[in-house]
Amino acid sequence: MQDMDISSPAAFVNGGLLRMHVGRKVRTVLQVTRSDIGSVMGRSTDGCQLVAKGSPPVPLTSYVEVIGVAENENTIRAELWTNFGDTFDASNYDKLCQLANGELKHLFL
Amino acid sequence: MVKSVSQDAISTILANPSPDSSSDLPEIIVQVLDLKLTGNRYTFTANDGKMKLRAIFPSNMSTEIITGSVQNMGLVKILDYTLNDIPNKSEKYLIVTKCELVSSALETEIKAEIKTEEPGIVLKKPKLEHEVKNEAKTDVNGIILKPKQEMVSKSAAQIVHEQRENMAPVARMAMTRRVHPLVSLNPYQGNWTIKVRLTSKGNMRTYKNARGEGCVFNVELTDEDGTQIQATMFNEAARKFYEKFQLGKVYYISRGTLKVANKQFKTVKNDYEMTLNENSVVEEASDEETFIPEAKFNFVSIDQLGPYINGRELVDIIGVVQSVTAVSNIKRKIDNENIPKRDMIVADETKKTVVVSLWNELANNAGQELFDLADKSPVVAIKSLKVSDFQGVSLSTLGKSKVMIKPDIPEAKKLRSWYDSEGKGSSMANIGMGLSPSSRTGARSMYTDRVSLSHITGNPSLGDEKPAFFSIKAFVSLIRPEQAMWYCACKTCNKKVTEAPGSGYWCEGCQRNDEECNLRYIMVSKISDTRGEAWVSAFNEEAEKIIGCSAEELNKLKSEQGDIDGYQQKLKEATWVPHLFRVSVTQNEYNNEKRQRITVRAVAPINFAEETKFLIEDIKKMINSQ
Repeated sequence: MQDMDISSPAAFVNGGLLRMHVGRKVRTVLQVTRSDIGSVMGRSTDGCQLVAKGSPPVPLTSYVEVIGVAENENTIRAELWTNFGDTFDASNYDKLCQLANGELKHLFL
Repeated sequence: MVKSVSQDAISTILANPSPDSSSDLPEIIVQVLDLKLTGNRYTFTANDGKMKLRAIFPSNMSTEIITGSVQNMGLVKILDYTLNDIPNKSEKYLIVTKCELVSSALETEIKAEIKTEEPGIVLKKPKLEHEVKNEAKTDVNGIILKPKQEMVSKSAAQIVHEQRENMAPVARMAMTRRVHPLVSLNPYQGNWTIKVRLTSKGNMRTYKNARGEGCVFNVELTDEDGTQIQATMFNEAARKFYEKFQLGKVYYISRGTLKVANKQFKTVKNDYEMTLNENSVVEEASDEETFIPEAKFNFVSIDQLGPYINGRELVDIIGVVQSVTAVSNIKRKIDNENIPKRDMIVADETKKTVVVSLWNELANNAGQELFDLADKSPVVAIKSLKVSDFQGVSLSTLGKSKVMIKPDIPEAKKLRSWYDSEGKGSSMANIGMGLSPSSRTGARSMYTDRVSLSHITGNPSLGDEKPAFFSIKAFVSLIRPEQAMWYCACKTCNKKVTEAPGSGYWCEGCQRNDEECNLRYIMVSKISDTRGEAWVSAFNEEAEKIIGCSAEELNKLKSEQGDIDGYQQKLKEATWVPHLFRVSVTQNEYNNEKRQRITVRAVAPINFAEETKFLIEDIKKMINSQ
């Protein structure tokens, strides 16, 4: 694994919020739709198709959290992967992303 | 001729500290007070009615004092004396060298009187209702003795009244008052006068306690700012003021005392409560028509009514009228009286509705107006409602409730615009659905009436009349291993059985013996959440969920020998586990003290997705309310 600077917090994002943090550290949870060598495709909590580049864990559960740098508005160069199991409440996470980027941004970044 | 003290005797002495026998001094007669033996001579305080002076008798007077000729409170004529300074003090000291007896002890200490004195109560009329029987007036010759008189309180208005008897009542009252707002009162400053309306009057109650019998009643006072305070009167004061205090009238009150309010019996929002005694002053204000206390509202939104169910605290609400029923007559069971009642459904921005029952006058007056306006969906604000668990949640008016239709306040405007834009069309549910106290173990009921432990422990009056139900999310923080955690229960009726050696277990309820009994939990444990902690009781089913095994199994673990203490281990594993609890709060009397008792009615595991949803809603509410 590459050395990643984890001194600054990663912004909670969903598909729609990713574009606001291009070039910066982000984190998100994806529902895995396709898993290839070197990348994983998944649905974000607001229904967008995103790509996470890197080496996912083996085996991979249905939900995975990735932390990495946003390359563009639908790709994340993932450095940290965490299996989140097979049940996950996407709508709660989505609301969290909205609060963390909206009214309560000052608590997160 | 009745002898008395010489006028200004002390002044004369002070002016002539060292008289010689030839000096022409007026007769000096003083009253002897505080006569006592100091060393081998008698000291006293010389009193001329106006001033006092420390003094000492010559030793040759001691015999007369001992024999009782010269008595305390008696009169002596000072024939010769010297006035000395007391080192390091500004006082003077009178050394009597020669004196003679004038009179034996008088009934009272002589005091100069200035003018007529009246008792504390003055009514609207300029003429005084009560006159003191004996009056004293200053006299050229001296001061006339009076029988002992009580000190009576006099307010500023009374003094002014005596001086200007021809003034019109209203003007007279208004210009002499300096009225303090109720909110400024505290126990450390006693010099206040308040102008308040009597908004509630309790009944006179008699009581008997270790110190004797007595009577007491209390009232609620509201001032112009809307601040309220409870005032209590005992015995003498209760009798004195009970008839005087009329509901709805306005009074000037002073000379009451304040103390920190007893949370258990608080009905108004005030940190202090007032006591009035016989010296307190209560005067009816004549300009009461202009004194309309502003209703101070503390609105609770409909979806937040849960925690107030069956509590003592009254709530204020504001909402949009959805429907109003016609007047019905309810027969009161206690006295068979018919009371008018009208029900109204009110909705607010939380998209919840609640039923408000208007009783008595409110059903007829405000209720009629609301009935006529119902299809226009007016905004209504109501103060001082009781929250009951009838049909989940319902609100009822009391005698002191106030209904304001279409009030001109910012909350009303906000509500109006919400209703006109979106509220009108949206579907709204009655808050009572899902709030019935019957314990449902489903996760759904764990989100209604959700409170933190501090809400329960901080409100000692909860569950006063009927048990109050709440949902709590908390961790089990302590289960004492040495407690008697279970009891032997009858296999049929679950009641406690008594062990009869040789013949098994006897159940008093079923009236029979059984060879075996069941062990059932009766457990006390401590639970903690982010705001506080509390001790709770749990019975068999609930305790099983907390501990994770039956009482029988735990008992087996307890009696097992071995390296591992299975019993302690089991309890340890149950500690610091979070649960959703449904609890009931009641009051128990214990040694004449009321104690809060919290019982676990249901235990459910935490559903994290539901819990998160609940927290997000909570966060949104907090953001919106800013």
